Amino acid sequence: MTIDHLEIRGLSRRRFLAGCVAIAGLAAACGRRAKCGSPGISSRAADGALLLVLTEGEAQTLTAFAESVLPTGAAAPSLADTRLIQRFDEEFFFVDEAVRADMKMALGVLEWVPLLGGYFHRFSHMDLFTRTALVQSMMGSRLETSRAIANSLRFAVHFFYYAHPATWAMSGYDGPFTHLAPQLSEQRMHYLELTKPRA
Amino acid sequence: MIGRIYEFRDLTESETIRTEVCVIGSGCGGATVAKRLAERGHDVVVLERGGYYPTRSFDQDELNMNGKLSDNRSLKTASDNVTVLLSGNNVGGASVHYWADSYRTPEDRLRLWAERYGIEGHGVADLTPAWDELTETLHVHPAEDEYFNRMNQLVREGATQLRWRGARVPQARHSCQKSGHCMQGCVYEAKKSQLVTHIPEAIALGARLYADVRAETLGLDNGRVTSLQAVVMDRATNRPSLTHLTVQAKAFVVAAGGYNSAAFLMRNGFRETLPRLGRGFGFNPSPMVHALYDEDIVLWRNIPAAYGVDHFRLASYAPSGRYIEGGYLLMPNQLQPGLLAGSLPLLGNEHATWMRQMRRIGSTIGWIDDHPDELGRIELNSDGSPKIIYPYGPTTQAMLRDLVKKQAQLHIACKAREIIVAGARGLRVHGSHDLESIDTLEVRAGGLLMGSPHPSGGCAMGRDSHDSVVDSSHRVHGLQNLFVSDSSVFPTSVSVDPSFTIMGFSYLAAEHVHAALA
Repeated sequence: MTIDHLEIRGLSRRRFLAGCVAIAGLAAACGRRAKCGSPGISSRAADGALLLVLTEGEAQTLTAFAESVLPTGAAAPSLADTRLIQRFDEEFFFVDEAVRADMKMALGVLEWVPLLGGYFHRFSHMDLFTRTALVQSMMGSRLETSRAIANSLRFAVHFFYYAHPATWAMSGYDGPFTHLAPQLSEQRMHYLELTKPRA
Repeated sequence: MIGRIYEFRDLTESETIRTEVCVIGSGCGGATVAKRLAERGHDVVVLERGGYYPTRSFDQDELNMNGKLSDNRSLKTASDNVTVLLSGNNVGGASVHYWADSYRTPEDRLRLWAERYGIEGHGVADLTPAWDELTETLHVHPAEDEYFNRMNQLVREGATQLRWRGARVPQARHSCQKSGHCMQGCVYEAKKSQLVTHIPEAIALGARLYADVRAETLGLDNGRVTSLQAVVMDRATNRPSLTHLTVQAKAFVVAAGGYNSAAFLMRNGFRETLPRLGRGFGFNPSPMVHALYDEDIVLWRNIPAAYGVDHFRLASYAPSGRYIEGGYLLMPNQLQPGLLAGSLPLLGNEHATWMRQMRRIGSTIGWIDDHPDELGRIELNSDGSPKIIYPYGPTTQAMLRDLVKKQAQLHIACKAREIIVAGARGLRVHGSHDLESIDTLEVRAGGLLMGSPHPSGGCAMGRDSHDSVVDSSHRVHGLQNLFVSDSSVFPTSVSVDPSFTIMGFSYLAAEHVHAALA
């Protein structure tokens, strides 16, 4: 089933959007409570890394999404190799609140949208094959909300993954022209400091 | 008198700064107007929301530099939630990550602005002295053969074969090292961004530049702006600090860029008296087409656009008004691996199959000349940040599809092995017989994956407050000493890359500010 078949099953575009908004509102409220309920305590990614923006639920959804759009196989660097979830968290830590809120809403809708389509699992609990098919159908959907969620998240995941040096051998990229030593900005250093493991 | 650059670490106590002119923003508009006013002997203070990153802090790393130079890390989108808004957030503004394409404003565009929008004193004759000087000081010249990477060569060959008119793109650069890192900031200072030209020139003439300072509230008294409240941003957290600055000046120039100037004025409550504030907004949506070739292209080295196709710059219409074709520039593309991967609309191993052949991926891009009757608008988000609402009207969509089609035609002419449109459906084009399928592509919400590098409008220049925000002297209607000097004053898109137009207009704006101070 593709996301566009929702319309055939009697779910109009308007009802789809209304469903998305309700889901997103619920997800955002849960996310806010999870973050605000524990001031000063951050979430953790599956690998134990501290997260400042993503809730654990959002990190799970993002991980499931990333697994669906990134290559598989031994030759492909893993999410951990590229610190993808942490990078995503870091990038969205420094953007405007409105940008961050959009990203969180996208993850919230993505997590619950399968239920609108008659699946009996949330996105992060679906098997990889079904998840990938759903993302594929969302990317090419005639429903703009669905298309926007899949394409904007995919853009960010691919951007952060393939910009990471761990993937350069696979892509044949020979790296920055002069191979200068990385110069971390104040923001990068601040994020690393906030998330470094503490005893 | 020698000026200096102050950063967040220098600004630990709230203070009042007195000056003759306060300029808000340090990109092509702000830096140029500051330099010109400093040359005229005025005391100038420049406020820049972003950080000061001198070229010695550049490392050519795609993500590191995106975080330093790009507003919202290139993650902010228009209201369709996918079109990426590209602008600078650093001393030097977007010029630090731009491609250095330096076109003089086409005469037909200046004529349109004069005749339809009532702009005075901004004709070719008025701007030519500025452009002549800028050509000299910024080393603007047509790209030489050695700067044609394989993608540029292919675009030239394909255009010639298709009998499309093209030309070498005028470049603001000197002693280019061909690194391919224009978008990560030029560590060699070969690209003549504002960071290495007008800013140090203004500083040498006594201007003071305050980086990490966000302009907030204008103080008004009897039709004049008397002060500006600003807050120092903590660069490490990218959040406001507790340190505030008050700037008292005789004149204020808003040059925060096409995405931010109108929003700044809206936050200050000017929408009520200036109904056109935030209206008439364009941003040159830029669709891309990627292709696999049987030879190495190495898209990420040498300069981005040495050669451009301007054959279709002006749109053509039937006598009935029906759109036929054109209304854009078509260019070679340059992408480092992260952005290339982000714009490749495939998943998983299929995506990786393309990325494994990255050396052989070619790409083109084009920017449409936003249709003047289908422009967008700027509103404010609840956090005060600008919200870009762009309608993608019917003619705009037709232009975008035509541009995608022409890019595909060019790749076909260049014998690409496989062609893919950067859009949600991942449409493949195998030959001319497939071109019609482009006509059914969705555009909005990722139907086409686009950036928007050239914002314009929002504070358009014109006759009075009913049709515009500033008059032909760049002065905000109804205020004696508040000016705007950046791409937000353009009533429509420029139809070419806008940096040289912004600088030319800023030369003229500086003269008007100077006259107001006399």
